[in-house]
Amino acid sequence: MKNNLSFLNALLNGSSKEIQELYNTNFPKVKHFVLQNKGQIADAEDVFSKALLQITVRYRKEKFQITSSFEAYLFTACKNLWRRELNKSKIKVTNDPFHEPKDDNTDLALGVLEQKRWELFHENIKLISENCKKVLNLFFAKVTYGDIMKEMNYNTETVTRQRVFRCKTKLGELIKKDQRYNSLKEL
Amino acid sequence: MNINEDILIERYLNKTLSIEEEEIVLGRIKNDATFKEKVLFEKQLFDTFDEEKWSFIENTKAQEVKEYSELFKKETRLKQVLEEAKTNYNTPKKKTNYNWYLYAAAMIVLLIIVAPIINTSPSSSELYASYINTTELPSLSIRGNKNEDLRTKAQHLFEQKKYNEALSIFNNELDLSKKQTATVYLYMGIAQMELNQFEKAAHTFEALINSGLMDAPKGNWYKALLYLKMEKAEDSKVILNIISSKKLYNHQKADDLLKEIN
Repeated sequence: MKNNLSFLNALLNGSSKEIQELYNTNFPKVKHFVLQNKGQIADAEDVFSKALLQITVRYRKEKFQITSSFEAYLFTACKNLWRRELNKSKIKVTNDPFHEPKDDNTDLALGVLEQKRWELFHENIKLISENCKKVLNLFFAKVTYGDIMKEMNYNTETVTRQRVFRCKTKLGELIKKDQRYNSLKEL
Repeated sequence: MNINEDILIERYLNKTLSIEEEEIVLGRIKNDATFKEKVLFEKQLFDTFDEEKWSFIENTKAQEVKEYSELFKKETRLKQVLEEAKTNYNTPKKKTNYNWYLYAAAMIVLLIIVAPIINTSPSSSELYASYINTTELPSLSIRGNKNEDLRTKAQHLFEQKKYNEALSIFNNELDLSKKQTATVYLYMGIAQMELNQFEKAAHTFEALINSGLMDAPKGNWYKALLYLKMEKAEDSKVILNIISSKKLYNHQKADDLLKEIN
């Protein structure tokens, strides 16, 4: 099994053989995911190529660390890019003036920075207590306060709201303390 | 930030503020930079952790965006290699194994003969019929509400399965341009679904899902049932999986239903 660095070097050097292997091994999983989530094969191809491009350019610029396996990281990047595409089409439907069409390279750049923010937030939620994590996962999944109260065995909805508030505040503090936040907060 | 401000921002982002309250919040966003920053951060939190959303970057003219954009422009070699990898992946292998086709054809014939005998699993519409349960709907009327009588009347008609007449009250006598309770959306959507007005029902459940109301997640469950009624089991499964993974309303029933569909 190859290590993360050899994948990254293959991408940096544009090595056809290794990149073909990467494609053959990892694309089927991404295709399956996109087809299961309202997409077509062409969407999966687009997302897969964009993810590899984004990983390469980001690594070229800042030599970031991939803490999981390269394949797992690539799959998460693809899932996020597909989620981004689905939400872009929602914005197009509602004609949001803040989201005018961008050229391909600018759109790729925005995608990288959004992925960086996603990682910052997700890595920090892992640092809060298990209980807070559970509360916030329910809260962000739009579970009602009443249902969170039942699920977590709290006495009242007021107690539940206070708990959500405290956990959210804790998460916010952790994110803002993270040095990566400074470069992302203006975006 | 105190809890009241937090709730205010949450209601602003969920679009559940009154017009007057919203104007006050918009005024504060315009004039109070700290408050604006809080709102933006909350929005980023919601959009990042809600798996159906995505947190987009607002400041598309930032220096870092430009820097990355320039780097992407230079990646011509990698773009070309990726294009070639895609083409190679999609090019069929030249060697054809005719035996495989033969086996496949034989299996298809066998399935056509055997499937009607062994297929005892319920159809999508049968599953819909067994899972739709209108008795669990909350009451439509709200004490003290100026439309209390209309709502009570609509509920009686609905319970008597007079869906057209119930819908006529919803459409003609309640002001649907104003935000209604989640229960109104549910009664309307189910009435439309029962009358096979599938597009309208989908629109109603979608409106509920996007309403930001506390009971908005219920819209997912009924939309999944709608797809079953339309015999679109695969579409229904997509929503049921979301309900199950996010533990939304009726997630246990969603798990049961998924087992039966599979």
